[in-house]
Amino acid sequence: MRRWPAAALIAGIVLAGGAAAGYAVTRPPGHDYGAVPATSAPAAPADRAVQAASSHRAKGSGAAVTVTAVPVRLRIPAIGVNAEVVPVGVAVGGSLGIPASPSVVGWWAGGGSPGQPSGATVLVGHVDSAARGPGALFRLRDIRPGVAVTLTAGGRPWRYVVRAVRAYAKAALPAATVFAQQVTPRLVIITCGGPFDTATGHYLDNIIAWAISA
Amino acid sequence: MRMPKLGACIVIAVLGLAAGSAATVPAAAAAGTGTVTIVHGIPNTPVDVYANGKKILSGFTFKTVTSPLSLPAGRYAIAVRKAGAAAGSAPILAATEQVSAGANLTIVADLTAAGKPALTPFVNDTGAVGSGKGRLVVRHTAAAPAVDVYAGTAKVISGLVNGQQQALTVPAGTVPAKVTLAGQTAAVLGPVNVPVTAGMATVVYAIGSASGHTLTAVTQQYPLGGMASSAQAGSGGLGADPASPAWPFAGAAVAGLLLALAGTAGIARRRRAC
Repeated sequence: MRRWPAAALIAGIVLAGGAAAGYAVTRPPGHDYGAVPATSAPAAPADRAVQAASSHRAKGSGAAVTVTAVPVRLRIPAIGVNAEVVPVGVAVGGSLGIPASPSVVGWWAGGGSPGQPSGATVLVGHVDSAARGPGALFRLRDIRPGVAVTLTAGGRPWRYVVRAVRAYAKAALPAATVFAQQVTPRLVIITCGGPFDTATGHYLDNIIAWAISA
Repeated sequence: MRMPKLGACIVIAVLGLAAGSAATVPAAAAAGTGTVTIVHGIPNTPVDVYANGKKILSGFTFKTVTSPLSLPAGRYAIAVRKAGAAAGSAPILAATEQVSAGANLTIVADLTAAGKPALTPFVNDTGAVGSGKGRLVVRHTAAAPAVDVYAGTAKVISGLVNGQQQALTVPAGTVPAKVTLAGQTAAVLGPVNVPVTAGMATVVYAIGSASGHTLTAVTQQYPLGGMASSAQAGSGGLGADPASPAWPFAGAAVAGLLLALAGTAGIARRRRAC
């Protein structure tokens, strides 16, 4: 009985320390895998994407008229994605539109397209919908660098490989990098994730996969 | 959306504007190119289309709308020849178009109200509309008199004549549209379900000839707005990280600290007692 204060002190320290260690071990992992492609100027015309664009030129054209390769389907076998793609635009205030159906992925038609010599091809898809459950990109956060992505556009497949997967707080989204058009070609796939704010019905983070031509 | 978050979005948008002078024009402008779409609205006339003497479309047929074409900014001599005609032969139609960096144009090979072939250029308004909305544009490019356009049972456009257009801002969804001769109720076109996508313009072209019984409609979509700055892509919370898991640990830590404090106090009191 005489030793209870010392026992309480030791037990208290162990409990507090254990709680801190437990939190550190079990809190959700941050999403920070791989390296985001550099935001550099487009490479010299020897770039293979430029050659691909050349092969996609309008028939018989010697002028630099290129037909936009409009994306129609996205496949990411590693996470079971095989989704229709439709064009979307930007609303007042800068928010990217998103298809009404959560199973359909949007392609930002004001940005880049496959085969162009520069610019990000930007896709946006639902992680889920309150009314209709999981969306096309529900598992985007599960993919890792090295995963293969195929985008069908202009009647042919364009193959990419994921280089990075990141979570960004929406309030601090590096929009100038995500939507950049004066950069070497890349594919940027956006969905939502992180904690969910039930008051607003929005997620607090964007999950973004960055890919380059395979 | 809560005001603080909206405020943050606006701040980001303003920063974006400050960072890039091209932010208010379509992103394609960054590469010094313009976008041109070509619509074929002349019945029974397959053609080849040339830009500055180079053939850019072969065997282009009635009711076809091209994918958007990306062209370096500049002046273009557009010539339309019968499909397969020699490049040096006299064109059916010819016009010169200025394509500016960031411009978005549609050129329609169409019929005038009197039924003569023509090249009619339209500037596509890429101004943004509100979130969840799109723009519905109707262009009269057919050999037909003035028309009215209905969305469902409501007349939304009155007395549209050849060569003219009218635009509406509508919620994303499907618009059941029909076209009647002005002042009449019987449809000469439709009803057809026109898809309207958020942040996109859907353009409906009335093409062909009323007297030739070739009146029909084709559609084009193009994106609205400048640079994107944000994306909301979920509303269910199913894919959320677990709700803040910190509190059980915080509770345990507080209990531990209290216990340690009590122990320390007990030791101190006992020391005093000695």
